Amino acid sequence: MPPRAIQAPSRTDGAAIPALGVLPAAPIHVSSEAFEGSLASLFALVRDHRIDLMGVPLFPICEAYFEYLITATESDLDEAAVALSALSYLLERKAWLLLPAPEVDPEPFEEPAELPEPSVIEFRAAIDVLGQWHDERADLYFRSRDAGPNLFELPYELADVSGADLARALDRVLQRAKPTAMPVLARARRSLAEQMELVFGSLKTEFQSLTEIIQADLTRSECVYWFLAILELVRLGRSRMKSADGDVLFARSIHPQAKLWSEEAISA
Amino acid sequence: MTPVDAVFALLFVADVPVTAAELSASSGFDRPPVEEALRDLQARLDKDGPIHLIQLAGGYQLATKPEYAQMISRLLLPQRQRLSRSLMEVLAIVAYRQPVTLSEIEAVRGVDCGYGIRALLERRLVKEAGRRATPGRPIEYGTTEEFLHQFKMNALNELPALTELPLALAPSEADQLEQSATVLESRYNQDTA
Repeated sequence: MPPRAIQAPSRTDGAAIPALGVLPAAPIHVSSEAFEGSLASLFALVRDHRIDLMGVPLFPICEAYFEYLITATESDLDEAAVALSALSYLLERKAWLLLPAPEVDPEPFEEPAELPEPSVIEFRAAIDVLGQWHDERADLYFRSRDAGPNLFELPYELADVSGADLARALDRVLQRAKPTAMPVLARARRSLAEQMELVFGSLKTEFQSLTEIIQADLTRSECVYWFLAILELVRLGRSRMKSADGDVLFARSIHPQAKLWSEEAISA
Repeated sequence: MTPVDAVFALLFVADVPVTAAELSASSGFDRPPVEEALRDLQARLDKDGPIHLIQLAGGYQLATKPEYAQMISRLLLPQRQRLSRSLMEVLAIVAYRQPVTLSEIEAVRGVDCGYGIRALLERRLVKEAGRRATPGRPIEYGTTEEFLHQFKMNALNELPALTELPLALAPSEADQLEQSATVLESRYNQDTA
């Protein structure tokens, strides 16, 4: 049986176009060896790639439909437009199928790139061994660098000197000081370590009072700085002190327990 | 005072590895008796007690034995700093190829290694070992004594040999495969019989 297209009666019956403005596909029945059904079904199957359009001869269908359009006395223009659009789509698809397919060159097979030489793979086994040694080393504990005695925790000798004695000694040297206006935001001229070096150099092995040790004219803040330095020297065991006639006397320590900063630097 | 006691006392107060020459100079004993004393002390400490004498980073140092590690770590709460894989790779390349430049390290790894070198410099495992006499005078890097100390080595010649490791592992693997093949063959023969 040759393929043919039969136009079924219109379902719109001249009614108004639906609100969406979309008309259903024209109820055209297609009858061929490869497909039998409505044109709308053929359209949907081709669109979804579910039928091989090569097996459906479109020329007789189009010829029959055009004959129908010419001979029909009452035809709906919208339905005819939809049907023609569907047929043109099918023709276009089939035309593309009939075109000779260009030969696609196969992708050139790329040889896997060789690893750079030398490669980190060379070190893999050694890294594993080193990691194992590192873990084993973590189980060993050594004497710490900070395990020695803390200079600031060494015992120091106060002898018979009380805090009040120290305060009076400071007061005496402060009374001798000449008050001068200090510049705003002035910084200490030297660090405490440097000051301790200076004070240590002024100390003798014989006991002296603060007023004897500090001979130069100093400001009040400098007097305090000298006093703090001498206290630090006592704390580090580099100076000793004793009380005598209501005053406090200071002298160099005979058996120094700790090194001064400069001495540490020299030994290092 | 015996040389062993003298060496023991000096090693006890030392917080870094001490060489035999330093021990000899400090103790006043000649080098041969000091070296003999080190061997004696090592054997004595290995025999009993929680401390042993090990050779690290070119010197001798006292350390607790590994079996006490768990207990000590509970007291000291040390912060273990494990090196990441990338840092280990950079470190291994520096250790085996030293003196080596940054670009040579990057040529081996194929990635940027600037961070790795900086991190290892901060950890004092790597140091600058001069500049190469090539255009640009790039910095050359080498390992430190801290590296030897951290990886339980006495000298760089103790590094595991790169080419020997696979060969050392191969015989055992081959033996295992051969044993497995023998077992399978015997089973197959039993089944077919």
